[in-house]
Amino acid sequence: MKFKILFLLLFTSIFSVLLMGQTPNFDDIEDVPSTIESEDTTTSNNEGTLLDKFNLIQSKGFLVIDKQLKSLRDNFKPLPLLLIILFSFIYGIFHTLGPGHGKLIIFSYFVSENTNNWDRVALSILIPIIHSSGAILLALLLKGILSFITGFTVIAIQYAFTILSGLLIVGISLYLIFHKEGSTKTIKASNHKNMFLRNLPIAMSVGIVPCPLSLTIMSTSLIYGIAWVGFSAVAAITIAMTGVLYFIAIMASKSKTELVKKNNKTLSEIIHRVGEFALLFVGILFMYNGGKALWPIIF
Amino acid sequence: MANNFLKRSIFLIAFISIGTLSLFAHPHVTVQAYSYNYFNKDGLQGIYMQWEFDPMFSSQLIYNYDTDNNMIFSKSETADLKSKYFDMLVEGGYYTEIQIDSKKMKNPLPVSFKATIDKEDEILIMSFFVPLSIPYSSSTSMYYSVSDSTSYTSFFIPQKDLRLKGSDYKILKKHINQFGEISYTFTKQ
Repeated sequence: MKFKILFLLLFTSIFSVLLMGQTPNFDDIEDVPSTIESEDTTTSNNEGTLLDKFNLIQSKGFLVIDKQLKSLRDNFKPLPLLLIILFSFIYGIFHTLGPGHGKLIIFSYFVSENTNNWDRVALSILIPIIHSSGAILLALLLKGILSFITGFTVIAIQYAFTILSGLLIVGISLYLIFHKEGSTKTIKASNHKNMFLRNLPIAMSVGIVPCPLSLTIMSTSLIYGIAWVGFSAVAAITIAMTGVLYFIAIMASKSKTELVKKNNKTLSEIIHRVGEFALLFVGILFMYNGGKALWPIIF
Repeated sequence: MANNFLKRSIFLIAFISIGTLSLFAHPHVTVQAYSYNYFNKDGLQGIYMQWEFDPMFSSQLIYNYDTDNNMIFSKSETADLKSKYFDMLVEGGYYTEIQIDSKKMKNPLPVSFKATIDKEDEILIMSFFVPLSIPYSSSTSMYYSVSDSTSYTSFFIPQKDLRLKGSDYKILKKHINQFGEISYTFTKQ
């Protein structure tokens, strides 16, 4: 346990050090009104939330990826390509561990439903592939036949996808809630028949929002004329996402097994219900968040 | 038995609660937000805001709106960027909240929109002026923040001190939170 914590600390430290010094010196930009220093000393602080700090590190990671993309745009060398693939993979893990990416949905689903390892494998693969391929497709469309869609509309499209995702999740959770027989039916551990097909609805509902990170990387690499580099980076992120989601799925299944160890039927039923209502809650929240963001623009 | 049941239920609720944190979306656009507070003999005239976008999002806006690829926004290109991007932000409150003496005010319409490109770093810089006209009093507290409630865009304030322009003002107290908040108290000198 101690070793794991030490490893995590070491990994985070190395990652943070790598990101230091990547921020451009914005003070040198022309056309900035000259600064008038005031008499008192301001407290420059670090009072943000954990999420703020996480976002700050992510923003620095973005700069690293962009720097490597520009380097490949200007002069192709194998080393920056390998670096960008490796960094995208590490960044993909870090990014997926952060908010979003259907972790709660995966967790709720595997806690509430009777599934087997093949389901965990199928969902961990399907969600990232749908999530990333949607982004690649959208990036290609936005640079092609949908090139008239620009500016804030691109962001608004992603809010609309969030609403759609919420609707699908609500639909699935309602199905699971009212279709008790189907959700509690035992699935044999060896049953891998139609493993992708049977998990497609839940995978679609989670993955349908195009991965904005992949969309940004893909769009940028298309603009830089190095689409295949962007594709490699997105593939690395997708693999990282698969690993993280599989880990979450295993955690959920193990938690469930641990919680109902003594074959407690009441507890088992409670877990089913809590998980399914958590799914419903997530769906409603997705719809609310997407709607809240779109409302001022539409009305 | 009942104790075990309780423990397990608490564990489950705690686990799901932690998982709920993941409901917050994560940012995909980063903005370094600088601001300059303009004073004159009558009081605080307004805030000049300058937003510097991250290189990847910048590349997309530059690609879409610098149509002649000369890395300079002409008048028509600026107007296009304003109508298709900035005006939509303005409709949603341009991520800004302003409070005078702890009272939230309705966001005024920003004026003097400008868009420039830092050619070296290839980043887009948008600037605009938020007119306020707050007269001097014995002590007026000013608070403003930039943040996106959907977390799609994250804002950081890189400046370590208030940036003030003009004359006749006196700053009594001030505070900057690099994650998007500035507050200070001012009076007439």
